[in-house]
Amino acid sequence: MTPSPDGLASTFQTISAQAPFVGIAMTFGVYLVSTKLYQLMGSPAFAHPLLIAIAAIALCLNIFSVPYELYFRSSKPLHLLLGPIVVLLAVPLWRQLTAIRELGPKLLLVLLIGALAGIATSAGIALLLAAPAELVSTVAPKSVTTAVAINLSESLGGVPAITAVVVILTGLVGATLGWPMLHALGIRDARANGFAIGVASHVIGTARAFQIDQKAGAFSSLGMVLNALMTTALIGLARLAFDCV
Amino acid sequence: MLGLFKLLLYLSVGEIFVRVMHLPLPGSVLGLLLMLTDFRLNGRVDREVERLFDSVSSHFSILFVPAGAGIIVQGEVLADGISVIVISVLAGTLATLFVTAFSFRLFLLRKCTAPPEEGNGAETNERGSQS
Repeated sequence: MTPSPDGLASTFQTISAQAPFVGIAMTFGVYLVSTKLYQLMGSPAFAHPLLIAIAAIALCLNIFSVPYELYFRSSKPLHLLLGPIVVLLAVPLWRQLTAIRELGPKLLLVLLIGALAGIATSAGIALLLAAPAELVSTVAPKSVTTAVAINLSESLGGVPAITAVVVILTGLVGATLGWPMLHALGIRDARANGFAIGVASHVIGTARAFQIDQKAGAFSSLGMVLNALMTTALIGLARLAFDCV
Repeated sequence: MLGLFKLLLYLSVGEIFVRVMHLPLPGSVLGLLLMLTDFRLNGRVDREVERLFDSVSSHFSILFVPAGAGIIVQGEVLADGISVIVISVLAGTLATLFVTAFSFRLFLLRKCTAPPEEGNGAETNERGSQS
């Protein structure tokens, strides 16, 4: 019933060259199944659909010994859409402008501190542990929302694949442990906690914040979008100033 | 059509700019800022761009799969950097959360602790985020 793995790889190669939608269709199929599975399991954090989808694709490629490069080439149009998606983030930022104006310049100070903490605890730790430049660039955007983080990792010379997984895991840590930890430490303001969750754990944390409290969710999405800009600016400045890597 | 064109135009301008200037930044973030400037100059959000965002925003995740699956060919980098990755993901994220929430409370909450003030602020914000 099943042809030999080598046969499958070359079949996939021929098919994906002639019918370029195969990789995209495969990604959609796997993602849909992952989402269903996630809902059936009662939405536990460790089974985030994105993690399942990535693992499933990796497993399929492994079983049928299809080289990753082949799959990536075939699903590249999806990857390229990350650019327009980042530009679309202007919409949630616009919606938050009223809140930003109300809070004033002090919000920028808090944002700056949060963004610096995010970079210090990723790129900073990597530098301290004498990690190679590639790894520093890979983990630096860990708190930034995935679309921006992947683009950032690419332009810094990091490994976007690892960045993607690191960003997702960061989001899950913030989403699951963030609220209880801040409460345990005595910070119980929905706005402060929401903003922090958005800054530290981007859209995955924001989705969780919205489940807890609407106000926390609104501040979380504010923190997420602002930190995407601030971290990009800070990393860019650091690169220009020190010309490191 | 105009909204879609603007989207592609700002993205292209951003990408060309960072390449010409040799900036180590994604052109898409510059495109985001151009789009925001467009909204500000017009005094309102572009309806088509807004509709586009609302219809795709819950399905962003699928776009990260092709890049994320690349983890299978990065075993070496992953193995070498596993301690850095685990520390920054776990300890780093929790530290970032605490530092941010703490400074938010320090700078933004201490001065306006009167409860009615807070209520007003939140309502205005919610209205703002829905419009």
